[in-house]
Amino acid sequence: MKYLVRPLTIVVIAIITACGGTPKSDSYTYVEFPDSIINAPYVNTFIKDLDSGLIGKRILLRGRITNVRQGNRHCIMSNSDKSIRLDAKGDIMGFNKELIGNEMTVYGTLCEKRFYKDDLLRMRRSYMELLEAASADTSITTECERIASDLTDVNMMYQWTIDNNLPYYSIMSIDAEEYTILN
Amino acid sequence: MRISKTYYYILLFAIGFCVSLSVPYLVQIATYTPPKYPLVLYSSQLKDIVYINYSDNMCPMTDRKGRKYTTSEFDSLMPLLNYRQLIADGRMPSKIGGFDSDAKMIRSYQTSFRISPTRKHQPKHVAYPVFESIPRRVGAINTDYIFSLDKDVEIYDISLNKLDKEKTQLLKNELLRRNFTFPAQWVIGNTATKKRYDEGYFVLDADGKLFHMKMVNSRPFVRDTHLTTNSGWHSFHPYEPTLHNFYGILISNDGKLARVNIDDNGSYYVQWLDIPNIDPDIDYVRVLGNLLYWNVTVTKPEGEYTYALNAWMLSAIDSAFVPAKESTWNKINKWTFPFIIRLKQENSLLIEPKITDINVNAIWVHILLVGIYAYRKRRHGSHARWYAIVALLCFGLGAFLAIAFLPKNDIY
Repeated sequence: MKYLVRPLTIVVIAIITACGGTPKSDSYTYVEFPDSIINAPYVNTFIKDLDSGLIGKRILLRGRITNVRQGNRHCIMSNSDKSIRLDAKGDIMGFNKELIGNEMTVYGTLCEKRFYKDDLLRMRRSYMELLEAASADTSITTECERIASDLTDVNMMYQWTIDNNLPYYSIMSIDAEEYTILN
Repeated sequence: MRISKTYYYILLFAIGFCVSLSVPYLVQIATYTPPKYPLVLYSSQLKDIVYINYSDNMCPMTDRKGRKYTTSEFDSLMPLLNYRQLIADGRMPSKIGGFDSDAKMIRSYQTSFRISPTRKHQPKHVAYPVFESIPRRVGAINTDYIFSLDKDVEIYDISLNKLDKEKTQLLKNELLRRNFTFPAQWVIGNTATKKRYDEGYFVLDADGKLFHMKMVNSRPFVRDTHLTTNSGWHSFHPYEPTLHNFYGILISNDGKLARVNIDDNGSYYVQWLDIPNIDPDIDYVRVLGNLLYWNVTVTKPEGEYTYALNAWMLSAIDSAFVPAKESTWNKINKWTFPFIIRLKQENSLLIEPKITDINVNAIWVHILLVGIYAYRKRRHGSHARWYAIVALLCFGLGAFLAIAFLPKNDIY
């Protein structure tokens, strides 16, 4: 029996530790949630002082919702001239369109998607081919407009990489896990 | 059989009342035929109002000049109504009204709903289901919670049959934070579970402010719509369109109809329907909308008015009126019953006895009959004659039947 006491104790301690998990406050690298709602940085301040080491970390951010799109799965949070995309994750199933105009804080993981110059050129080529094919069919003018709009975006992103002498165009987003409406 | 005078008078008035209550109903059931109206729509091809009668298999459509159109012509002239047939026949035009004729797009703009006056006159709901506006599973709209909102707000967990204090407090805090004033005048939303999605409820508070309330991500969402009108809001008809492009129709107390939308800045706004004011307590409204036009039909007692509106701006394009055909019941009623005591009104689900259908012609007929009766009984000096005359004046035909069937004995 005494041979079993030590291994059993280790197993019990291991189970208790695993169940306990990491304390929530330790996993927030930028500000705590929800006690620091008032101290949450605004989108423009945050993007200005953005430390690239925060990618993949949990952050708390404050701003005004300016757009909700793609079946409510995404929305845009803005402040001044800076904006960031919020993606619904975890318990958040989406963002309702009535949130537009509301100021809120969001808590989630900061993500970055990089579009390298080669990718952008490839995208531009494929969009131009699509546009050419769509233009031939006069019955789908709305599709043409959509492709043309996407092509303009890609061109703008490519131009930005040249102007800023960077190898990629970076898009920041937050995988939102929690939010609070402030007004 | 002999009965005392007192019983005779009681029976005379009781039978007269009961018969005058029931006979009009029986006659109405036997003679009433509801008015039949053709389907009146605006043709995107003819640019005019047309009348559609589906019971005519050969020529279902007629234009204003009376010209009839065959089924094939009807399909071509009403492409937004018959697009599936046109696609099956390979006759679909490439563009309709400047839009690409894409079946998916045409279908997504189809709008169809009715606004019935019974909505206002019905027992007040005490509890409403709480639906999740962005459900975890697509199309699965179900709930374990109901809420009541009157002098206070409460959310109940129906699986446990208990008040959920936490959720109740959350919703109450949210309502108070948005300056909601209790009690609520009305709470209106689509409580059906078979629907594409849920837009929650529109609530009119004690101060006449209109709020939008729904459950999003398991938390209450409340917003003051800031929508106002001089006469106040009478009611709301919710509608959840495929495109999520509007919430429904608001009706003001003076009978104006407005489509409720939200703009790109997240502000609610109304688009007034360019039609004459309706009587929200009597009139029925039917909206059949498509990509280009909204056909709004208002059914009044005198007939059916149809207004063709621009689907985007809701401005009037054309209108038509189809008068109601007089049914046998109306012809009989006009001369037979001076008034009818109805326990329940046509536009109501409540038992509210009221005197309706007052007919001047029938009143004169009854006065004449009472005169004839009084003349024939002029030699009878008893009080019974005067009771009978009063009963006849009050209950008309009912009292006549009572006098005819009650034992005569020596009363007169």
